[in-house]
Amino acid sequence: MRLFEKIFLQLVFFLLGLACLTAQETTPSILFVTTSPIRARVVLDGEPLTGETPLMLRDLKPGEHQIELLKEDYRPVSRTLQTAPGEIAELNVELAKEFWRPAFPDEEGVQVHGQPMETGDTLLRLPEGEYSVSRQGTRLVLEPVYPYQKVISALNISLPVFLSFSAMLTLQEMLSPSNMDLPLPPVVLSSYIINLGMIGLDVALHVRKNKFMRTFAAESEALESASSAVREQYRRGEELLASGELDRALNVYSRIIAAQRDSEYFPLALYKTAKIHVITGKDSLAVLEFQLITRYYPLAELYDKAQKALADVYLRRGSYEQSCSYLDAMVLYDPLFTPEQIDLYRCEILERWVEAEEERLDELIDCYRELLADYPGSEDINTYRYRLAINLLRGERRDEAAAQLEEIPADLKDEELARNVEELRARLGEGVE
Amino acid sequence: MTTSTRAAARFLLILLLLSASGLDAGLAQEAEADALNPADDIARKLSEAEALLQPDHTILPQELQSIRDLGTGLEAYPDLETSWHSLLMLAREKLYAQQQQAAGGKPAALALEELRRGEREAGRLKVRKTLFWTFLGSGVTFLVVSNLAAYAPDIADRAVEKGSAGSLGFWWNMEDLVAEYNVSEVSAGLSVLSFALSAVMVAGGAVP
Repeated sequence: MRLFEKIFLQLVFFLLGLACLTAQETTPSILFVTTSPIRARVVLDGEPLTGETPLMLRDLKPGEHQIELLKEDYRPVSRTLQTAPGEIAELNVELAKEFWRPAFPDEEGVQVHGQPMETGDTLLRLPEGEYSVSRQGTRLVLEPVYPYQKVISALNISLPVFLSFSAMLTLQEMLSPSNMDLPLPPVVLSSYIINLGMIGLDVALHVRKNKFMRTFAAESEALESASSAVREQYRRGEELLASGELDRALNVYSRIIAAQRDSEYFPLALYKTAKIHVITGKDSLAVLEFQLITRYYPLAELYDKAQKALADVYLRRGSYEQSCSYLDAMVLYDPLFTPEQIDLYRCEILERWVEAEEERLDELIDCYRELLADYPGSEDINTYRYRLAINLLRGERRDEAAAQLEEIPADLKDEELARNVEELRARLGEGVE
Repeated sequence: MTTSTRAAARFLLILLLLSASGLDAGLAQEAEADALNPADDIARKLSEAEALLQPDHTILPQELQSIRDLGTGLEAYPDLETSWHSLLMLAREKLYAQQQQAAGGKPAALALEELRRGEREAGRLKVRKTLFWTFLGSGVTFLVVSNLAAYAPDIADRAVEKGSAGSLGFWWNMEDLVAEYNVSEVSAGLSVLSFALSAVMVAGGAVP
């Protein structure tokens, strides 16, 4: 019988271990995918996804994944990455353009392929390739070079040479005919074939070149759209924000949001706008902006911050349940937040909630208990115990409160806490709540 | 009542009526101004527009347009104008995001299909280019062989004359082989064929 029990217990432990292992292996991972510029299409393991970058892929099966990022006018990028169970990872890809955007702010005039372009605060948008640059008076002239231009140039030299050679051979044959069965000797025929081939190739290349030149298109864009200009604009907004000029900072960020929708600074400017709205008391606008970030622009560096900001705003509004739900949505990838900090914040929200609705007290007590269980080595463990004791006392659970206070050492470094603990002990001792 | 008293009373009555009507007009004007205070009206409309942006509401293009329309004549109220800008941006982004969600993975699927098509095209171009250079190379080679075969007797004669031929038998056999298998004609034919095929490759886009 004892042996049977032993085997049974071993089997139970084995199964439990196996279950834990399986659970760990299937814990989904989270992946933040973003590109520069944003709004690229994402294909995950051959499956086209809804939405554009930045994307937050929740419930990602741990293992190897292939991600393809596609955006018009940019080279497609394919990346293979490995995710571990429960891991939160970030994939940030800078997409390479299929065009180039030079600016000639110092030139009086620029002409591209015969087309006069604007200079000054203008960027040219030209297809990738070779260009010849020359100057006509004060005007800079850019002319696209056909990729096979070198072959055409070589043919321009070799074709007359070969034609002359062929003509000389023909002339020689006419003057002194060879005694062969063929109407023309093989060498003459060969020269004709080579010449014919070269002429054919030359014609084909010219046809293609004409098509290339006809389809060539140069465009111009405002210099503001240059990534360096957007970066500079954003930096200017940061400076204004730091110096407290909120209206001007808001104006700069709004300009980025309105005109640079593809820029990686778009979500950042959106976040800053929301922050300014929080400061200026326009909470309802701020909420909408933070929600936009968390739903459609979840940058790894913004996601947790926006969720936390939403929790703050809802706490201020007295919507405790919503405030807690935003805290729950945090993934804690941002190093700015620690799990302990957020768990403590949840308890603080619950404290405020209990002030409004006494029936939430048990939830609050559980919150502090979890805090104690999850962070036994925390520096603030005594504060947590004290807070738990206070709330236990509030719920008339005096013995439990006393037990918690017992756990707090007598030699506390924090004088205020020591005083508070003593006060609470006295209250418990007196039997006065 | 004397005439002078009657006149004074009439004067007082007229004065009273005039002042009363003036007071009424003032009050009415004030009430009207209150009712039509444009800033309040715009602020009310902006807060109504905020409701359209709540997560549970699906914004429509005409609603975006109505928010856009609120912006006319806002220059005089910078604070309201700033809020309106934010609302307009939020509405525009929400509508865009909704459209993205509604499209599902279709845009990404289309982009992927285009990419695959491009890849296939690039692969075909590579094959065409390879074939072009192969045919061109073969054409030149066969042309050289054809000429060598045609002039084999002359070359052999010269080699023998100069005494540089390693073995007379080799050249004799060579001449026989060339004559027996029509190497010159066959090579010339293959050369022409190769050149023709390379021309076809060029026409097919081997040269971009």
